[in-house]
Amino acid sequence: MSAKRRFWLIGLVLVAIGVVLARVVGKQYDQAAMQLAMYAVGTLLAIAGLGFIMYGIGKK
Amino acid sequence: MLQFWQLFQGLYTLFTSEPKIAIGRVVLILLGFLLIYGAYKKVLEGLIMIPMGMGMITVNGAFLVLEAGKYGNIFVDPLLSGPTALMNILQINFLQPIYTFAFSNGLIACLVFMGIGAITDIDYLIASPMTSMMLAVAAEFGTFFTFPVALACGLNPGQSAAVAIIGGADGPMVLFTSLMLAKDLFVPITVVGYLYLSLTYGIYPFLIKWLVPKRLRGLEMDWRTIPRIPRGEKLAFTAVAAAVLCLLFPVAGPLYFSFFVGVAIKESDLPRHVQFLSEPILYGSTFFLGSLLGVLMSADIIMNAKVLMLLLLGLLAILLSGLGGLAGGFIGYKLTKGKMNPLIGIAAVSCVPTTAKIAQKEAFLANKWAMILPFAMGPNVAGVITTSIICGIYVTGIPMVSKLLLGS
Repeated sequence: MSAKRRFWLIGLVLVAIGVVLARVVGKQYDQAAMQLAMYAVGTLLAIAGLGFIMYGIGKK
Repeated sequence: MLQFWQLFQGLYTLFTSEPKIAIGRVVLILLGFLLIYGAYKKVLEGLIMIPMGMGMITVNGAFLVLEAGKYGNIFVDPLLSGPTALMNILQINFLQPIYTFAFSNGLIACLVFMGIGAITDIDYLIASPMTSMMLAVAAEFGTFFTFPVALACGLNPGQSAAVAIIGGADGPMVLFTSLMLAKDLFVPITVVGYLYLSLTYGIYPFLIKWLVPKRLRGLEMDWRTIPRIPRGEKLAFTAVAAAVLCLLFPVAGPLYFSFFVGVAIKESDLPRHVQFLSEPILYGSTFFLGSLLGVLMSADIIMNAKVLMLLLLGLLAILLSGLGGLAGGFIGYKLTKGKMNPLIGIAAVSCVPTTAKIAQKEAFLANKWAMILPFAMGPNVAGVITTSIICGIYVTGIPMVSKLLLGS
């Protein structure tokens, strides 16, 4: 597998985990603090995934 | 004699209205002339400032006596609410249909974004995502700092967030935030939120000249260092980014659609669609945006105490974001050991593509060989993303935090 594809794959996995954490897992909690924490962690993870993809695309 | 004067209601209302409104009208008419002169002299951006200046002159001149002796104009009434009143006024005010059906719901901003997407190159954003995001976070200084200031001014957390988001300089985000968190202030914030455009065009060039030495403004950057990325990969990234951001921040979905559809069309090599979006759609909507901004600068709207406070807080937000962006630019300049033009920082204030154009224009004025626009578009686009993230955090987080505090 080429380096670019590896970055794409890892990025997409990170994005998927982030979105699930932020939008699905977070809502399972009753406490607002946990919801907020899950939302923040998931969002950061998904953005990091996008960053990973961008880094891979930019690589020569 | 009185009836004779009533024939010339523009003058009649000037002499018979409250002194503060009359003075406000005169000042705004003069300001309109100044904007047109500034645009003619190329000091200000003509595309927005000419229709805006004309709008200010005419709307403040054309006051007349409406029913029940109330003074107003027959251009637009932005503070109107309620279906019956709206239906009645739609048949009278000539710009009301555009305001109601295209401006206050964010359509015109989305059309602008489609056109902008079609002319945006995302190469630098992809090549330097970290730099772009760092600058974009710095340029959100106003969005963060205005929030506690607004709280201190007596606004509730939702209202404070809706005003603070003006620092992100993204009209649709302001609309969404106020709709979700401060419905009672939606209309005044709609007015103020869009006036940021004139502030960025009018104030940022002076801020740049004041804070950045000419030597640094004219710093050349080699745009050949930006890697050429295959269209297919850019298109795939555009689709993935749109999907992810919509999943995370549905509140900014219309904006993401508008921007990324433009980028996708550009990267799909559809020249007729690109031309359609980047010429009639972009220029047409920019013209009406400028005209509406002008007619909204009517003395009876601007002299409203609530609008005036929001206007001041909005001004603070947009100024602080500009300062934060420039600070980010200076940090980038230091980190890259003088290879990055610090003006790129102000382009991270996500008023796409205005701030990027301002940065390029100021760099060009300092050095005609300084070509920084391809670099400026990276933080500019990253700014849209960070503003939508903050918008999502405010919209989701404030009700959560309020629940948390009430629960404890």
